[in-house]
Amino acid sequence: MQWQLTPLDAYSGNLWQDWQSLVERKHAGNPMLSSAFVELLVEYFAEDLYLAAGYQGAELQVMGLLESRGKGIWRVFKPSQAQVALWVGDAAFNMQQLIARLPGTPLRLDFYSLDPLEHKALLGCIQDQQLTECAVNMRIAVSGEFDSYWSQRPKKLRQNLKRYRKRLIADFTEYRLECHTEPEAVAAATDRYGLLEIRGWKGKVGTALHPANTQGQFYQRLMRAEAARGQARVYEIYIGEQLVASRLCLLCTQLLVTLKTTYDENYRKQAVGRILLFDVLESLFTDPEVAVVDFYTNATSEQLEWCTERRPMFNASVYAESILGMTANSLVSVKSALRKRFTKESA
Amino acid sequence: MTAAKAADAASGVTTGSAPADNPVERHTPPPPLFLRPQWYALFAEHIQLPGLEPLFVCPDADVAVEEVRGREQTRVAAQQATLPLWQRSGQRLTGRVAAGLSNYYSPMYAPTSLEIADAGALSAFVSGNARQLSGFDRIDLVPLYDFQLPMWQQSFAAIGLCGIPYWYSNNWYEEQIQDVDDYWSRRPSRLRNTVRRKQRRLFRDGEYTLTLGVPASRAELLQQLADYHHVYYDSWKQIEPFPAFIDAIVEWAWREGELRLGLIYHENVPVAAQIWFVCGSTAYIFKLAYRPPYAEQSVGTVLSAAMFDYVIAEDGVSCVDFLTGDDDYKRDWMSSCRPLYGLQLCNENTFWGQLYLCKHSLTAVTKKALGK
Repeated sequence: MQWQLTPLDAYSGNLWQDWQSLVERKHAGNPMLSSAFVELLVEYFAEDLYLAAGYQGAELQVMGLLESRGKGIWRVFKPSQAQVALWVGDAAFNMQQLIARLPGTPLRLDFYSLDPLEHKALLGCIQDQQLTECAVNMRIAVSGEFDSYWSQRPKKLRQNLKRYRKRLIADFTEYRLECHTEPEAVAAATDRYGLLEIRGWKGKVGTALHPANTQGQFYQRLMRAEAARGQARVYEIYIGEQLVASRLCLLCTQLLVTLKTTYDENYRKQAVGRILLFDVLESLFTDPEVAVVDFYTNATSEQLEWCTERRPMFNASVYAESILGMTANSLVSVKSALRKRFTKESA
Repeated sequence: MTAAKAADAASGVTTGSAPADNPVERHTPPPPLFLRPQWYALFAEHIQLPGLEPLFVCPDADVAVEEVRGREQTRVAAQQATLPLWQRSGQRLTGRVAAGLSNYYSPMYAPTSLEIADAGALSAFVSGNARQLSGFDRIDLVPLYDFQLPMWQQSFAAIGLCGIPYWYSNNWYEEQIQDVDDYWSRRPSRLRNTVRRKQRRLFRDGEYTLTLGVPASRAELLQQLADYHHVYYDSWKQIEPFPAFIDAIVEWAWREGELRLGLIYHENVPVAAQIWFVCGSTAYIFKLAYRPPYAEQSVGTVLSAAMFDYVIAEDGVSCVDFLTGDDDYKRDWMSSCRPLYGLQLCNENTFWGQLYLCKHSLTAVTKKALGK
């Protein structure tokens, strides 16, 4: 593999067209890697990115966005809005050749949220001891009959959902599910999502999206643009005129990815977030546009009760095979071992 | 022609009035919403800063100092006069310090459920809560009107806290407005001409639409509120640090029938937005913003003019208040300006309080010596 490593704006080709071409060829158009999503991430959240473009002969095989963390440490760009490493194409290569091309004196290259479904070849280039499992992701196949899917869920989950729905109807008589797909409706629903999320715990810790912050601006533009291509949906549950739960989703080639979910914490007792998930799934089983729902989350044991497939996600740290790189690796290993030992002793 | 009439003449104007369940008219005018228990409760709920805890001082028989958040706090605060404070958490090398529960969102400050100008009530309140209040080495209060200063100084002097005032900001306002024509007759001809010319141009082709008044439903409120935030984000102002507070205050004011929201859209994109509150006979201009690419069209000026016309003609207000800040443009819209003060109360009976007093004396002497 021949590497071309340049500042992002110095790339000689048509950056986002080439990126999307790889996404369609190698990632079945996964919306978490699509150029529309990544271009906006770069516009809103990136500074001084480098592009690694790998060629075999004249053919572009791999692209990845890299940023320097200083002191010789590099990483694949991954703002918190990205659920998976922004690395597209899936060809095997020699990792040390790439590291050697990084500017300055590179010691280490970090990868976050590598997905075995999207980064199989890349994971194959990384030694096991350099990998750490960082999350358990989940999927639900929405083919066949919903009743069949639901009957295979744990009894406790089924009973709980029955109880939540009964309580919701008892408390409020009725509620309704809405699904928005048109650009203006999706943009407005994304704003409503933000106004709801900021009132909850995410608002308190400062991580909620909202029309007043950069994250809210990012999601509104993304959702509106994707809706214009028929690839965005916002699901909402209303009790009367009150929005109580909302879920932002992207869709491409029968894969529905849930980006964000929130609910009104005043309705915690009615578990409106779970009722929303239940109703959305029920509707998707009769929806020919969707075959799989991917959550791109670090699923809890409760969430895993809903899934039909699960897979680990990985972080990786690859050190340069230079004297400095190996020294840094050794120092980090010693530090880590000492920390473990002291933690054990103090416990 | 007035701004509102000119705007109405354009096809794209919609004005809303208070829905039946949000009565604007009230039998007894309430205090400005910035001084009500709900304001402070929402403030404490949504504005949380590291190292600071809200503290509601009130003469409760069982619990002298209430430190509850959210709805419970509203209930407590609504029942009796309460002094909303922030206190520093943990042990500090600066003594026990508190401050009024206020920041750049707060245009005024006073205990809840007390008439702001009632010196006797304030004195009784401070005496009644002497045990809690004199436990502080220093209390900083801001912003206060000039008539509040002697009341606060005297009330706190009685419990051993010496008040040192300082200038904080200015407040521009226009009072004794008879009607729309009366208001505009007081404005400089330059402003009147600009408003007239810009209105005409803006609404000539039907590309711009103006929406102002009271949103008719909660759904409309939320959409307009989101549109306001989009404009604010793209404006010259810094990113809103506590948007949840703005949302909560706006929704509360809407439920009270006191919110007036104004927006100008260019081809359905919001380009200027303003949040006003109408309390009794006074309109308060709380937030305003526009998108810089539309500065040439003076969308902010046109919207302000329409909002003035609306609150004077429709709400019958006789006073419009620009709240805190001394920006140059306010001089064109208002005739009167008054200073706003801060007051630092130092405890004469504690070591740290005396140290703060010494520091003030030294600063004053130094300034005098340097001729400042």
